[in-house]
Amino acid sequence: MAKPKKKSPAKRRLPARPRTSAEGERQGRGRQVATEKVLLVLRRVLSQLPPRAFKGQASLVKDLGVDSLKVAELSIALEDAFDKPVFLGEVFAHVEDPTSLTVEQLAEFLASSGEST
Amino acid sequence: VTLDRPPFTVEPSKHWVTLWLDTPGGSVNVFGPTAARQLGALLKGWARKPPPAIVLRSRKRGSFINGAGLLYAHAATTPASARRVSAPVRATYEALASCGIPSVAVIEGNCFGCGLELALACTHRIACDDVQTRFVMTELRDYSFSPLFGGTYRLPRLLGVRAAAELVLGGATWSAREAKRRGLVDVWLPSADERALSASLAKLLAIPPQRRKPALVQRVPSALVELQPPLRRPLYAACARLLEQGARGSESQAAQREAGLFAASVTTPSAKRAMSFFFIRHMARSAMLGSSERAPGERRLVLDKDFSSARLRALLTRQADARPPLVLGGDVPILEPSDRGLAGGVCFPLGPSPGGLCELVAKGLDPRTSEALARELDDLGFEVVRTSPEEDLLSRTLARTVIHTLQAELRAGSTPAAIASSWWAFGFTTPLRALVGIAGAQGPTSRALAAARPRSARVDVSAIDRLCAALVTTLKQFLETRALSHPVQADLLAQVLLGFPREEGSLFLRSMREGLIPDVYGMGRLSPRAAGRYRSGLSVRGA
Repeated sequence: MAKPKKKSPAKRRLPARPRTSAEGERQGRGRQVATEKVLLVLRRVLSQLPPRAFKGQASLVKDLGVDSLKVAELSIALEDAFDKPVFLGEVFAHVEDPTSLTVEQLAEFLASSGEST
Repeated sequence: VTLDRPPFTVEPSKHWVTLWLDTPGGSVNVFGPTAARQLGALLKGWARKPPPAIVLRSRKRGSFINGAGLLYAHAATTPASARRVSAPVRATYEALASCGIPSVAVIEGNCFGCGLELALACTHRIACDDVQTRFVMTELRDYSFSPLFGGTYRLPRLLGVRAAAELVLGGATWSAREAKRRGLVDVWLPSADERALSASLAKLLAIPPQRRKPALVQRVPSALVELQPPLRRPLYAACARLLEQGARGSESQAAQREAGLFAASVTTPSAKRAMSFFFIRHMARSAMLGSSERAPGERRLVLDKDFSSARLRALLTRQADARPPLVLGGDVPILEPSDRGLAGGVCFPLGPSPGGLCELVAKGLDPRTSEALARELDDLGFEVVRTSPEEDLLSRTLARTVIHTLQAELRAGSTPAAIASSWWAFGFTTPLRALVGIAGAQGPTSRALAAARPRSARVDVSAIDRLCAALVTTLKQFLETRALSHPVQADLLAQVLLGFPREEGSLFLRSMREGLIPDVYGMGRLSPRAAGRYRSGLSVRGA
């Protein structure tokens, strides 16, 4: 079987930049919606944490105690919420410091990657 | 601060101070930087006024310590960053080992990798029997990097090189009883009964720790290295050297050698891919079981007397559980690969050994029974894949795909020896003869494949690509017909049944990299350029 020609994932996946302020606003709203969705999933998966723990600026690892097993669990839960594949383990592998990843940053990433698909 | 309690709780008593580990927010204990910092600070504080003894225990059911934070290892990009991230945790292990205070690790539940190494840094070890008390050095076996926290010199000094190699290179899993038999723990208890435990602790702490005489055999059995496929051999050989050198001489030099090999091995593409497979494996588990945690008060499954499969009963009820049983009746047969999967049951295509594959055919089973069984088998250490096949068991169909594809290679002019060589050298670990058996394949070509032995280390990459493409097609059919519900389960099935090399990540990950299939895991979104441009404040490599 001949191999299909490989595409450059970087080129294929680049989302469009906001061209107008309305577009920028729409993206902002998209990020806000995404943050709320992520927080909802986190509340469900990390149900033993107090409600005050769930903030946009919270670090997933440092503040919410997300470990590698929870990352796997969250991946499945986020897939359901965002209706697209989420391989959270690889997101963590691509940040310099896993403790730096916040809820908002994850939401922004999920929202922007959604625009590209 | 949202996780407002530290991982360790300190409980002083007259004869010892108990350190209870309960990683906040986690379903299992992780001895990561936070726990290391806290233990380090406690040890520093005790330098002036030491307690009579330290007892390390876990408050998490089923987990003594499962890891040291794979997320950190996965994110380390250079040997320097791997050393930097791991140094504080390493320092705590050394501080515990050299603090001069008698210390006892009371192990109940998973004692994996760095957990086993923490137990080794203690002066004594007690193992409480439980289905989840298992001792495994997971680093090399599961993640393709070398141990980091003293395992390569404390294990050979305690057990001898041969037994240490069995754990580190051979990936052996030891039960509590086996750990006692082999000298890894000083005391075996049938359960974590507090009275018996206190008596054992008092007795153990009354005598000085005894170092076992190292065994006479100070060489790693060569088969543990030489039988590995070529892609694994350099790291296995380097680890074997560490074990042999670590058995004697200066501990600090051994520690330096160990740290060097870890830093070099954890940043290789093979290790990164193996770590990616960890997430796939646990995503498959989450997709099947939902939460990784048991609900409070949830009871362990105990099958009642109406449960008709004697073999399954023997397998599942080998551990007594003092809690009130969750009684389930009904019939869950053990299926053979040749059985049709129309009725519910469980199949262990490669044999019922923990760590092996269990295909749980959910069709026809009461959902509650199916879920309880899945959890129980998962607790026992099986890799459970829940399936709903239309006809044959998925294991059998997948094994048939392998055999049929390889038979096509034979018809195209390849030889059984060349195929066996490619299979082994690529890193598949399930013997072809086992797959011929599972597939129920008959005839001369099947017999030739079953009997073929590798003669060279040459990988026919085109043949492997064709095989992967055929396997992906079969797995896609499983997903399309809802015999499997998620791509990660398909990947897990292929990995465990075929022994797909962890250094490749998984079948789907490799196929995506090679452009054989589109991006089923959304990995393309992680290209540094795309991610870096659109994630404000998130530091992305290469962005």
